[in-house]
Amino acid sequence: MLVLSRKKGESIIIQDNIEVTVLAVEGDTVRIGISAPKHIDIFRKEVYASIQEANRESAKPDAPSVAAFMELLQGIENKKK
Amino acid sequence: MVVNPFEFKQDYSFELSEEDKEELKIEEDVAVYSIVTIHSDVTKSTMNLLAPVIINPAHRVGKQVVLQQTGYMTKHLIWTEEATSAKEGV
Repeated sequence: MLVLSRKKGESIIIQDNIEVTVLAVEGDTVRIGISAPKHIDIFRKEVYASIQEANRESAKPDAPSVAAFMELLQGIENKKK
Repeated sequence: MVVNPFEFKQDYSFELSEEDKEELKIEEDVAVYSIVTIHSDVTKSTMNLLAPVIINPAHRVGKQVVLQQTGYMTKHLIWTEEATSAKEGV
């Protein structure tokens, strides 16, 4: 990992067109500004991780659970009618 | 497995960013799906409302979009407790 020290208002450039600026530092919170091309997706890491985890879990249901899910779905739909 | 989220959460709504609209070439038609996580107790199965799959059927392009500034979660219960308990009462 590259480690750099930056002061408030200073920034770093990544690959010509991504600029990360330190906007403010308050206690243990750092406010960061990021300028990047539109096609670059930027997420808070915990959000990114939770989505990856949810996708991974969704991708591996076992057959009996799928059957049980479908049965419940049909039961609830029938009840609505 | 994916579901139509509006079937289960009628007031689900979000705004697609201009960038996503552009990337998916969205004009009118858009299909929205939520990825399902089946829980070992199926009544507690969830759908991902934070990151729906957005598809442009006309252009056959789609992607999982992460919504910005919303309170939706990756694990939103598909059915309320009332819905599932009513079923079990049959």
